[in-house]
Amino acid sequence: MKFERELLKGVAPVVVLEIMSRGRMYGYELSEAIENKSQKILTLGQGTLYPLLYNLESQKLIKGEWETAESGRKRRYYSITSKGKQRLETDKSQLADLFKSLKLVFGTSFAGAN
Amino acid sequence: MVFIFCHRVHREHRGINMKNDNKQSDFKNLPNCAAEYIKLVIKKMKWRKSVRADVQAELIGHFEDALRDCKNEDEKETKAKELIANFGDAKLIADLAAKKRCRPLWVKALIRTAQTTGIIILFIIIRSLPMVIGSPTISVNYAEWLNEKVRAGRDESLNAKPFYDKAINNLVEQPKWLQEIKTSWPGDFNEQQLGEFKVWYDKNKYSFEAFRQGSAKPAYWNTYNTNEPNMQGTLQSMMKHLVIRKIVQNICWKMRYDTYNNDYNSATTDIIALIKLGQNMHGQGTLIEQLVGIAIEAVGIGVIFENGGKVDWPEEKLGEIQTQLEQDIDKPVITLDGEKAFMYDYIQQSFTDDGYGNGRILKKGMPIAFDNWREFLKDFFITGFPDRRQTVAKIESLYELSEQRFSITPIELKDEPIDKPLYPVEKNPFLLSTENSLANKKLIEITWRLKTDRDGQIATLAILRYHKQTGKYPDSLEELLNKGFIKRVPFDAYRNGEMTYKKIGDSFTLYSFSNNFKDDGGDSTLGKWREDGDAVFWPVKSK
Repeated sequence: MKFERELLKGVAPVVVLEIMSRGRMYGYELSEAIENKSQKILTLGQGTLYPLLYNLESQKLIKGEWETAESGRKRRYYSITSKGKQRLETDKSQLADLFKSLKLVFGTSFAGAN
Repeated sequence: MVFIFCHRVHREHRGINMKNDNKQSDFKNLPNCAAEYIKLVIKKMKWRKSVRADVQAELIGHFEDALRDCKNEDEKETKAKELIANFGDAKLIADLAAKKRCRPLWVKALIRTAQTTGIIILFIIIRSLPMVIGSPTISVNYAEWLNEKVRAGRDESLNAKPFYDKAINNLVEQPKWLQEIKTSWPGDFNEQQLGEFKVWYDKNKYSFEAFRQGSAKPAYWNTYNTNEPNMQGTLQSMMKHLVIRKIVQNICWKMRYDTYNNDYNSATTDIIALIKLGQNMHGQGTLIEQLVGIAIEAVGIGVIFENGGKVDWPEEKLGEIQTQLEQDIDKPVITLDGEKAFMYDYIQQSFTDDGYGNGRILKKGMPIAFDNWREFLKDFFITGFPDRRQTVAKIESLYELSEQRFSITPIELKDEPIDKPLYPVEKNPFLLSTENSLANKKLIEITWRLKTDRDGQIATLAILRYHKQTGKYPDSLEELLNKGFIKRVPFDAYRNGEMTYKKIGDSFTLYSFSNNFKDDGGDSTLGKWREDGDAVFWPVKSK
């Protein structure tokens, strides 16, 4: 199942921050993680992934660092910052409120009700 | 569709300058279409090189990770195309990535410029603060210092100044026609002019008397006003004393009139008085007074023979005038004490005083501490300002150099431009540019002109006396020297040698090579100290 682009756009930063709050990751690893954790329901387009990472980085919500692996390959690892953690908490709380209000509107037909 | 895209990417990439950001080896693990796609994204970014390199490395890593599990090249190629399709338009991703990755270059440049400007302004403020904080300590009255220099321990009763002041106070100005008349010989006046002249002459009786009384004194020096707040004020208040020039003009006419009436005693006394006044004025005090003194002595020398064809001076009087001219002949014509007083006072007023002869510069000191803007900027931004001691040392070296230069003769300065400064100092606002003119070629020439005039006139007087005693002219200047008529052979600074003397029949000629430094034959009709011709002392040009 694929989400409408606009619908996903607002949630994508929260998803990225949430995944990253569990450990630092490089770009490809992150896109894989999102797909796996969401059972392939959420897929971040490759073209969206890096601009989104750079956006979060410019807001200082995450920070990227180059590291050279034993194989000699250089990878840019991203980790969540304390500012990012605060934002994550706020966004999660807002999402919870959103779900509550959606539940009230849709009633039992809203999947999130269960 | 993906194939078409890959093909387009490949086609567009042919124009990419490979030297930019990507090395072919970075893409060795990727299919061509992936490599070309990444290169296109990077090309479209058009941002900073380091940012492009980062994004490129990250995309390469992404593709390599995604293609890692592919079993063969075909599978890699297919998966790469899927990924490219997933990434989307290269320009769009390039724009999105770059915008988030860094600020536009112009914004960065603007920020850096603002930061740099701020730092420079702050630096200027910090650097300028010491110049406006603090005040000078006025511990020396340089007008008094200069007064002591010119007085040189002599008693005030020896000073001719009070009598000259009296002469100035009793002075009656010349009638206008006398100021404008071309002749210098009263015999050329008409009857009415002669009558008016006598009236004017009588009215100046007290002024003439006071001048004579002053001349009987052995010395003359000015007393500078010590109550002015600085030397600039002192020098300005001194200027009014220079009215003594008017006395000189009157005395010249008195001398001419006395000569016209064959009163050689009186005329000789006045000539000697004029020469003495000039001699007393130069070599001490301020530069402007010394220049006036040089002019007065030159006038005194000049009037002796200006009517030479009409006057037959007694030998005894010629001797008296010669003796006066030989007074202080080796004394320096110019001293810089007055200028030093001005400059030391300026330093005193524009530096702080640490009590040990040093101090830091204040705003007012800028014009004397620096020679030009480059030096100022270098000191301001890099090395720091010169302190009081350094500035004094610099000023003193300038004066030392100036004083040394007065011994250089005009012919030795022949090829130096007339206004060449002592060393390269820019014009205003740097004060040293003014001081720089102290010993420039022009001033040096003025002093040598006076010395040459003196030597020429002394020798002329001696030759005329020789003729009166022996009835003939000497064969050479050495003969004049050997027989004791002169103390030394006259020196021509315009050829660095003996002055040119020629015995011609029952007359003679004596001249300096003058400003063109060559022998023009001693033509006396041209007049002295022109740019062409010689400075001829004898025969005298008739007016």
